[in-house]
Amino acid sequence: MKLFFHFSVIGFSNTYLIGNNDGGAAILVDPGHMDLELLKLIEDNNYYIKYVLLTHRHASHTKGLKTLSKIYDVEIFANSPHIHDFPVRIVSDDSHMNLAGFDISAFLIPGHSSDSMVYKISDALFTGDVLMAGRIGSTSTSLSRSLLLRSIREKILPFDENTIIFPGHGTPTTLGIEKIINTDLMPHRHGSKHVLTGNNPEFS
Amino acid sequence: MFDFIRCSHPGCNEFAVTKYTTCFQHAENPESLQQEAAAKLLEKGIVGSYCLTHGEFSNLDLSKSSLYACKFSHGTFQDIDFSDSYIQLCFFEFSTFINCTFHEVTSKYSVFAGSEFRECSFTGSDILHSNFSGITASHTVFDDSDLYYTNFSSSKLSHVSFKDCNLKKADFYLSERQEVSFKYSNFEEALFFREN
Repeated sequence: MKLFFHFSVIGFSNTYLIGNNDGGAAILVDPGHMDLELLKLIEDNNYYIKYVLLTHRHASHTKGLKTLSKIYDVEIFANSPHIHDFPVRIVSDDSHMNLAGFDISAFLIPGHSSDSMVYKISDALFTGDVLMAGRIGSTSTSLSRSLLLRSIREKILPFDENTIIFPGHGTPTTLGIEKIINTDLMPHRHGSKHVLTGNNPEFS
Repeated sequence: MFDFIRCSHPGCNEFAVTKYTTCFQHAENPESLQQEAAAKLLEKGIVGSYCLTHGEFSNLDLSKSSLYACKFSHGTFQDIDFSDSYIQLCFFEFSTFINCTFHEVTSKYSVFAGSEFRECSFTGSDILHSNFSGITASHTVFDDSDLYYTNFSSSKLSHVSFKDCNLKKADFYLSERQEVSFKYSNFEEALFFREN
Protein backbone atom coordinates (compact mmCIF):
# COMPACT_ATOMS: atom_id res chain seq x y z
CA MET A 1 0.00 0.00 0.00
CA LYS A 2 1.24 3.45 -0.90
CA LEU A 3 -0.26 6.53 0.66
CA PHE A 4 0.21 10.12 -0.41
CA PHE A 5 -0.90 13.22 1.43
CA HIS A 6 -2.13 16.31 -0.38
CA PHE A 7 -2.98 19.58 1.34
CA SER A 8 -5.20 22.17 -0.21
CA VAL A 9 -5.04 25.78 0.96
CA ILE A 10 -8.61 26.10 -0.29
CA GLY A 11 -10.55 24.79 2.69
CA PHE A 12 -7.28 23.81 4.43
CA SER A 13 -8.24 20.20 3.92
CA ASN A 14 -6.32 16.97 3.41
CA THR A 15 -6.80 14.65 0.47
CA TYR A 16 -5.30 11.17 0.54
CA LEU A 17 -4.22 9.12 -2.46
CA ILE A 18 -4.07 5.39 -1.78
CA GLY A 19 -2.78 2.90 -4.29
CA ASN A 20 -0.84 -0.27 -4.82
CA ASN A 21 2.94 -0.28 -4.99
CA ASP A 22 2.96 -0.75 -8.77
CA GLY A 23 0.42 1.88 -9.82
CA GLY A 24 -2.97 1.26 -11.46
CA ALA A 25 -6.41 1.85 -10.00
CA ALA A 26 -6.29 4.07 -6.93
CA ILE A 27 -8.53 5.58 -4.27
CA LEU A 28 -8.86 9.25 -3.42
CA VAL A 29 -10.22 10.19 -0.01
CA ASP A 30 -11.96 13.60 0.17
CA PRO A 31 -11.00 15.53 -2.97
CA GLY A 32 -11.65 18.95 -1.48
CA HIS A 33 -9.82 20.65 -4.30
CA MET A 34 -8.42 19.22 -7.52
CA ASP A 35 -5.31 21.08 -8.57
CA LEU A 36 -2.26 20.47 -10.74
CA GLU A 37 -0.20 19.34 -7.78
CA LEU A 38 -2.66 16.56 -6.97
CA LEU A 39 -2.96 15.57 -10.63
CA LYS A 40 0.83 15.35 -10.85
CA LEU A 41 0.93 13.20 -7.72
CA ILE A 42 -1.55 10.80 -9.30
CA GLU A 43 0.01 10.66 -12.75
CA ASP A 44 3.68 10.63 -11.69
CA ASN A 45 2.97 7.54 -9.61
CA ASN A 46 1.20 5.78 -12.51
CA TYR A 47 -2.22 5.82 -10.92
CA TYR A 48 -5.66 6.55 -12.24
CA ILE A 49 -8.47 7.36 -9.84
CA LYS A 50 -11.16 4.76 -9.93
CA TYR A 51 -12.75 5.22 -6.51
CA VAL A 52 -13.50 8.21 -4.33
CA LEU A 53 -14.31 7.82 -0.64
CA LEU A 54 -16.05 10.80 0.94
CA THR A 55 -16.00 11.19 4.70
CA HIS A 56 -18.93 13.65 4.50
CA ARG A 57 -20.61 16.02 2.11
CA HIS A 58 -19.10 19.37 3.19
CA ALA A 59 -17.58 21.40 0.35
CA SER A 60 -14.00 21.40 1.68
CA HIS A 61 -14.03 17.60 1.22
CA THR A 62 -15.99 17.29 -2.02
CA LYS A 63 -15.52 20.36 -4.20
CA GLY A 64 -12.76 18.79 -6.28
CA LEU A 65 -15.20 16.17 -7.60
CA LYS A 66 -16.30 18.37 -10.47
CA THR A 67 -12.81 18.65 -11.97
CA LEU A 68 -11.82 15.13 -10.94
CA SER A 69 -14.80 13.59 -12.74
CA LYS A 70 -13.80 15.34 -15.97
CA ILE A 71 -10.40 13.63 -15.84
CA TYR A 72 -11.24 10.20 -14.46
CA ASP A 73 -14.27 7.94 -14.58
CA VAL A 74 -14.76 7.68 -10.85
CA GLU A 75 -17.12 5.77 -8.62
CA ILE A 76 -18.08 7.80 -5.55
CA PHE A 77 -18.76 6.24 -2.16
CA ALA A 78 -20.45 8.23 0.61
CA ASN A 79 -23.20 8.02 3.18
CA SER A 80 -25.08 10.98 1.72
CA PRO A 81 -27.13 10.36 -1.44
CA HIS A 82 -26.66 13.94 -2.66
CA ILE A 83 -23.13 15.11 -3.48
CA HIS A 84 -23.20 17.91 -6.06
CA ASP A 85 -25.63 15.82 -8.18
CA PHE A 86 -23.06 13.08 -8.77
CA PRO A 87 -24.29 9.48 -8.61
CA VAL A 88 -23.20 8.05 -5.28
CA ARG A 89 -22.90 4.50 -3.99
CA ILE A 90 -24.27 4.66 -0.48
CA VAL A 91 -21.99 3.33 2.24
CA SER A 92 -23.78 2.23 5.38
CA ASP A 93 -22.56 1.85 8.94
CA ASP A 94 -20.29 -1.09 9.72
CA SER A 95 -20.03 -2.11 6.08
CA HIS A 96 -17.12 -3.66 4.25
CA MET A 97 -15.91 -3.42 0.68
CA ASN A 98 -12.89 -4.19 -1.42
CA LEU A 99 -11.70 -1.42 -3.71
CA ALA A 100 -8.49 -1.43 -5.76
CA GLY A 101 -7.45 -4.54 -3.85
CA PHE A 102 -7.83 -2.95 -0.41
CA ASP A 103 -10.21 -4.23 2.26
CA ILE A 104 -12.10 -1.25 3.61
CA SER A 105 -14.35 -1.02 6.66
CA ALA A 106 -16.74 1.90 6.98
CA PHE A 107 -18.30 3.35 10.12
CA LEU A 108 -20.99 6.00 10.43
CA ILE A 109 -20.00 8.50 13.15
CA PRO A 110 -22.64 11.27 13.11
CA GLY A 111 -22.31 14.53 15.04
CA HIS A 112 -20.19 16.87 12.94
CA SER A 113 -22.56 16.03 10.10
CA SER A 114 -25.25 13.41 9.83
CA ASP A 115 -23.34 11.59 7.08
CA SER A 116 -19.86 11.51 8.66
CA MET A 117 -18.04 8.31 7.79
CA VAL A 118 -14.72 6.91 8.99
CA TYR A 119 -12.92 4.47 6.70
CA LYS A 120 -10.40 1.90 7.91
CA ILE A 121 -7.83 0.58 5.48
CA SER A 122 -5.19 -1.71 6.97
CA ASP A 123 -3.87 0.08 10.09
CA ALA A 124 -5.04 3.53 8.98
CA LEU A 125 -8.24 5.37 9.82
CA PHE A 126 -9.42 8.16 7.54
CA THR A 127 -11.47 10.17 9.99
CA GLY A 128 -12.54 13.27 8.04
CA ASP A 129 -13.89 15.80 10.53
CA VAL A 130 -14.80 13.22 13.17
CA LEU A 131 -11.47 13.02 14.97
CA MET A 132 -8.41 15.19 14.42
CA ALA A 133 -5.12 15.70 16.24
CA GLY A 134 -6.04 17.14 19.63
CA ARG A 135 -9.73 17.64 19.00
CA ILE A 136 -12.98 16.21 17.75
CA GLY A 137 -15.07 17.70 14.95
CA SER A 138 -17.09 20.85 15.49
CA THR A 139 -20.77 20.43 16.25
CA SER A 140 -23.70 22.79 16.17
CA THR A 141 -25.48 21.58 19.29
CA SER A 142 -24.58 19.90 22.57
CA LEU A 143 -26.70 16.94 21.48
CA SER A 144 -24.61 16.54 18.32
CA ARG A 145 -21.46 16.74 20.42
CA SER A 146 -22.71 14.02 22.75
CA LEU A 147 -23.64 11.87 19.77
CA LEU A 148 -20.23 12.38 18.20
CA LEU A 149 -18.37 11.57 21.43
CA ARG A 150 -20.45 8.46 22.04
CA SER A 151 -19.89 7.18 18.51
CA ILE A 152 -16.13 7.82 18.74
CA ARG A 153 -15.96 5.95 22.06
CA GLU A 154 -17.97 3.01 20.76
CA LYS A 155 -16.56 2.65 17.27
CA ILE A 156 -13.11 4.27 17.12
CA LEU A 157 -11.44 4.03 20.51
CA PRO A 158 -11.62 0.21 20.66
CA PHE A 159 -9.06 -0.01 17.84
CA ASP A 160 -5.52 -0.55 19.03
CA GLU A 161 -3.25 2.33 19.93
CA ASN A 162 -0.94 1.92 16.95
CA THR A 163 -3.77 2.72 14.56
CA ILE A 164 -2.76 5.72 12.46
CA ILE A 165 -5.27 8.53 12.04
CA PHE A 166 -5.37 10.58 8.86
CA PRO A 167 -7.84 13.40 9.47
CA GLY A 168 -9.60 15.74 7.06
CA HIS A 169 -7.83 18.74 8.54
CA GLY A 170 -4.55 19.12 10.39
CA THR A 171 -1.73 16.74 11.12
CA PRO A 172 -1.65 12.95 11.18
CA THR A 173 -1.78 11.31 14.58
CA THR A 174 -2.34 7.91 16.18
CA LEU A 175 -5.09 6.55 18.36
CA GLY A 176 -2.58 6.09 21.19
CA ILE A 177 -1.73 9.79 21.07
CA GLU A 178 -5.35 10.88 21.00
CA LYS A 179 -6.31 8.68 23.92
CA ILE A 180 -3.71 10.48 26.04
CA ILE A 181 -3.62 14.03 24.66
CA ASN A 182 -6.99 14.82 23.10
CA THR A 183 -8.75 16.94 25.72
CA ASP A 184 -12.07 16.69 23.88
CA LEU A 185 -12.09 12.97 24.65
CA MET A 186 -11.54 13.61 28.35
CA PRO A 187 -14.52 13.92 30.67
CA HIS A 188 -13.70 17.44 31.93
CA ARG A 189 -12.41 20.02 29.50
CA HIS A 190 -10.51 23.11 30.59
CA GLY A 191 -10.02 26.11 28.36
CA SER A 192 -6.73 27.94 27.96
CA LYS A 193 -6.11 30.48 30.68
CA HIS A 194 -3.39 32.25 28.77
CA VAL A 195 -4.29 35.72 27.60
CA LEU A 196 -2.59 37.46 24.72
CA THR A 197 -1.78 40.99 25.72
CA GLY A 198 0.74 43.51 24.57
CA ASN A 199 2.39 43.35 27.98
CA ASN A 200 2.98 39.62 27.89
CA PRO A 201 6.75 39.04 27.76
CA GLU A 202 6.25 35.96 25.57
CA PHE A 203 5.22 38.12 22.64
CA SER A 204 7.44 41.17 22.97
CA MET B 1 4.90 3.06 2.17
CA PHE B 2 3.13 1.81 5.27
CA ASP B 3 3.62 -1.84 4.50
CA PHE B 4 4.11 -2.51 8.18
CA ILE B 5 3.21 -5.88 9.66
CA ARG B 6 2.38 -6.70 13.26
CA CYS B 7 4.76 -8.46 15.62
CA SER B 8 4.29 -12.24 15.59
CA HIS B 9 4.76 -12.51 19.37
CA PRO B 10 1.44 -13.61 20.92
CA GLY B 11 -0.54 -10.67 22.29
CA CYS B 12 1.84 -8.01 20.96
CA ASN B 13 0.30 -5.17 18.92
CA GLU B 14 3.55 -3.45 18.01
CA PHE B 15 4.67 -3.23 14.41
CA ALA B 16 7.45 -5.65 13.50
CA VAL B 17 10.87 -4.36 12.58
CA THR B 18 11.09 -4.04 8.81
CA LYS B 19 12.09 -7.37 7.20
CA TYR B 20 11.61 -9.22 10.51
CA THR B 21 8.63 -10.95 12.06
CA THR B 22 8.84 -9.49 15.56
CA CYS B 23 9.05 -6.04 17.04
CA PHE B 24 12.26 -4.71 18.53
CA GLN B 25 11.29 -5.73 22.06
CA HIS B 26 10.56 -9.33 21.07
CA ALA B 27 13.53 -9.75 18.76
CA GLU B 28 16.06 -12.45 19.56
CA ASN B 29 18.94 -10.06 19.06
CA PRO B 30 17.68 -6.49 19.37
CA GLU B 31 21.20 -5.10 19.51
CA SER B 32 21.96 -6.25 15.98
CA LEU B 33 18.64 -4.85 14.70
CA GLN B 34 19.56 -1.50 16.13
CA GLN B 35 22.99 -1.58 14.52
CA GLU B 36 21.38 -2.58 11.23
CA ALA B 37 18.99 0.37 11.47
CA ALA B 38 21.79 2.78 12.30
CA ALA B 39 23.83 1.50 9.37
CA LYS B 40 20.84 1.93 7.04
CA LEU B 41 20.29 5.49 8.25
CA LEU B 42 23.98 6.33 7.90
CA GLU B 43 23.91 5.34 4.23
CA LYS B 44 21.96 8.60 3.76
CA GLY B 45 20.00 7.31 0.81
CA ILE B 46 16.22 7.56 0.75
CA VAL B 47 14.82 5.49 3.60
CA GLY B 48 11.18 4.61 3.01
CA SER B 49 8.64 2.57 4.92
CA TYR B 50 11.13 1.52 7.58
CA CYS B 51 9.96 0.55 11.05
CA LEU B 52 11.91 0.14 14.26
CA THR B 53 10.15 1.28 17.42
CA HIS B 54 11.69 1.51 20.91
CA GLY B 55 15.18 1.82 19.41
CA GLU B 56 18.03 3.70 21.06
CA PHE B 57 20.31 5.77 18.88
CA SER B 58 23.18 8.02 19.91
CA ASN B 59 26.06 9.97 18.40
CA LEU B 60 25.01 9.65 14.77
CA ASP B 61 25.46 12.08 11.93
CA LEU B 62 22.18 11.70 10.05
CA SER B 63 22.43 15.06 8.33
CA LYS B 64 21.00 15.22 4.79
CA SER B 65 18.92 12.08 5.35
CA SER B 66 15.64 11.50 3.55
CA LEU B 67 13.02 9.65 5.55
CA TYR B 68 9.62 8.80 4.09
CA ALA B 69 6.82 7.00 5.94
CA CYS B 70 9.12 5.61 8.61
CA LYS B 71 8.17 4.64 12.13
CA PHE B 72 10.64 5.20 14.98
CA SER B 73 8.08 5.62 17.78
CA HIS B 74 9.10 5.29 21.45
CA GLY B 75 12.73 5.76 20.43
CA THR B 76 15.58 7.44 22.23
CA PHE B 77 17.75 9.79 20.20
CA GLN B 78 20.76 11.37 21.85
CA ASP B 79 23.35 13.60 20.16
CA ILE B 80 21.92 13.00 16.69
CA ASP B 81 22.47 15.48 13.90
CA PHE B 82 19.43 15.55 11.59
CA SER B 83 20.50 18.82 9.92
CA ASP B 84 19.32 19.44 6.38
CA SER B 85 17.22 16.26 6.43
CA TYR B 86 13.88 15.68 4.75
CA ILE B 87 11.29 13.95 6.93
CA GLN B 88 7.87 13.19 5.49
CA LEU B 89 4.99 11.19 6.98
CA CYS B 90 7.28 9.78 9.68
CA PHE B 91 6.24 8.76 13.18
CA PHE B 92 8.46 9.56 16.17
CA GLU B 93 5.70 9.75 18.79
CA PHE B 94 6.51 9.19 22.48
CA SER B 95 10.25 9.41 21.82
CA THR B 96 13.02 11.15 23.71
CA PHE B 97 15.35 13.56 21.94
CA ILE B 98 18.37 14.82 23.88
CA ASN B 99 20.78 17.34 22.41
CA CYS B 100 19.63 16.69 18.84
CA THR B 101 20.12 19.14 15.99
CA PHE B 102 17.42 19.62 13.39
CA HIS B 103 18.98 22.66 11.71
CA GLU B 104 17.31 23.48 8.39
CA VAL B 105 15.26 20.30 8.27
CA THR B 106 12.07 19.92 6.29
CA SER B 107 9.39 18.03 8.17
CA LYS B 108 6.01 17.47 6.55
CA TYR B 109 3.04 15.58 7.96
CA SER B 110 5.25 13.96 10.59
CA VAL B 111 4.38 13.05 14.15
CA PHE B 112 6.49 13.84 17.21
CA ALA B 113 3.55 13.97 19.64
CA GLY B 114 4.07 13.00 23.26
CA SER B 115 7.84 13.19 22.88
CA GLU B 116 10.36 14.84 25.13
CA PHE B 117 12.89 17.31 23.73
CA ARG B 118 15.84 18.42 25.83
CA GLU B 119 18.35 20.93 24.50
CA CYS B 120 17.34 20.42 20.88
CA SER B 121 17.61 22.89 18.03
CA PHE B 122 15.21 23.24 15.10
CA THR B 123 16.59 26.54 13.77
CA GLY B 124 15.91 27.62 10.20
CA SER B 125 13.58 24.70 9.52
CA ASP B 126 10.36 24.13 7.60
CA ILE B 127 8.23 22.14 10.01
CA LEU B 128 4.92 22.06 8.20
CA HIS B 129 1.74 20.30 9.14
CA SER B 130 3.56 18.29 11.81
CA ASN B 131 2.26 17.00 15.12
CA PHE B 132 4.07 18.11 18.29
CA SER B 133 0.99 17.89 20.51
CA GLY B 134 1.62 16.87 24.09
CA ILE B 135 5.39 17.26 23.82
CA THR B 136 7.54 18.27 26.77
CA ALA B 137 10.30 20.57 25.57
CA SER B 138 12.98 22.34 27.56
CA HIS B 139 15.86 24.52 26.43
CA THR B 140 14.85 23.98 22.83
CA VAL B 141 14.99 26.44 19.96
CA PHE B 142 12.71 26.76 16.92
CA ASP B 143 14.00 30.21 15.82
CA ASP B 144 13.71 31.30 12.16
CA SER B 145 11.43 28.37 11.34
CA ASP B 146 8.25 28.01 9.34
CA LEU B 147 5.79 26.20 11.61
CA TYR B 148 2.74 26.48 9.36
CA TYR B 149 -0.18 24.35 10.60
CA THR B 150 2.02 22.59 13.16
CA ASN B 151 0.29 21.41 16.32
CA PHE B 152 1.77 22.14 19.76
CA SER B 153 -1.51 21.74 21.65
CA SER B 154 -1.30 20.42 25.22
CA SER B 155 2.47 20.75 25.14
CA LYS B 156 4.65 21.73 28.09
CA LEU B 157 7.25 24.22 26.97
CA SER B 158 9.97 25.53 29.23
CA HIS B 159 12.75 27.82 28.00
CA VAL B 160 11.66 27.33 24.41
CA SER B 161 12.27 29.96 21.76
CA PHE B 162 10.04 30.60 18.73
CA LYS B 163 11.70 33.84 17.61
CA ASP B 164 11.02 35.09 14.09
CA CYS B 165 8.89 32.09 13.15
CA ASN B 166 5.92 31.76 10.84
CA LEU B 167 3.17 30.64 13.21
CA LYS B 168 0.25 30.82 10.79
CA LYS B 169 -2.29 28.19 11.86
CA ALA B 170 0.16 26.80 14.45
CA ASP B 171 -1.83 25.43 17.38
CA PHE B 172 -0.80 26.17 20.98
CA TYR B 173 -4.18 25.39 22.57
CA LEU B 174 -3.81 24.34 26.20
CA SER B 175 -0.03 24.58 26.02
CA GLU B 176 1.79 25.32 29.27
CA ARG B 177 4.50 27.85 28.61
CA GLN B 178 7.28 28.99 30.90
CA GLU B 179 10.03 31.26 29.65
CA VAL B 180 8.80 30.92 26.07
CA SER B 181 9.50 33.63 23.52
CA PHE B 182 7.52 34.38 20.36
CA LYS B 183 9.45 37.58 19.64
CA TYR B 184 9.20 38.83 16.01
CA SER B 185 6.79 35.97 15.17
CA ASN B 186 3.24 36.34 13.86
CA PHE B 187 1.69 34.86 17.00
CA GLU B 188 -1.59 36.65 16.14
CA GLU B 189 -2.10 34.05 13.39
CA ALA B 190 -1.49 31.12 15.75
CA LEU B 191 -4.23 29.43 17.71
CA PHE B 192 -4.16 29.80 21.49
CA PHE B 193 -7.90 29.53 22.14
CA ARG B 194 -10.77 27.61 20.63
CA GLU B 195 -14.33 28.64 20.16
CA ASN B 196 -17.02 26.21 21.30
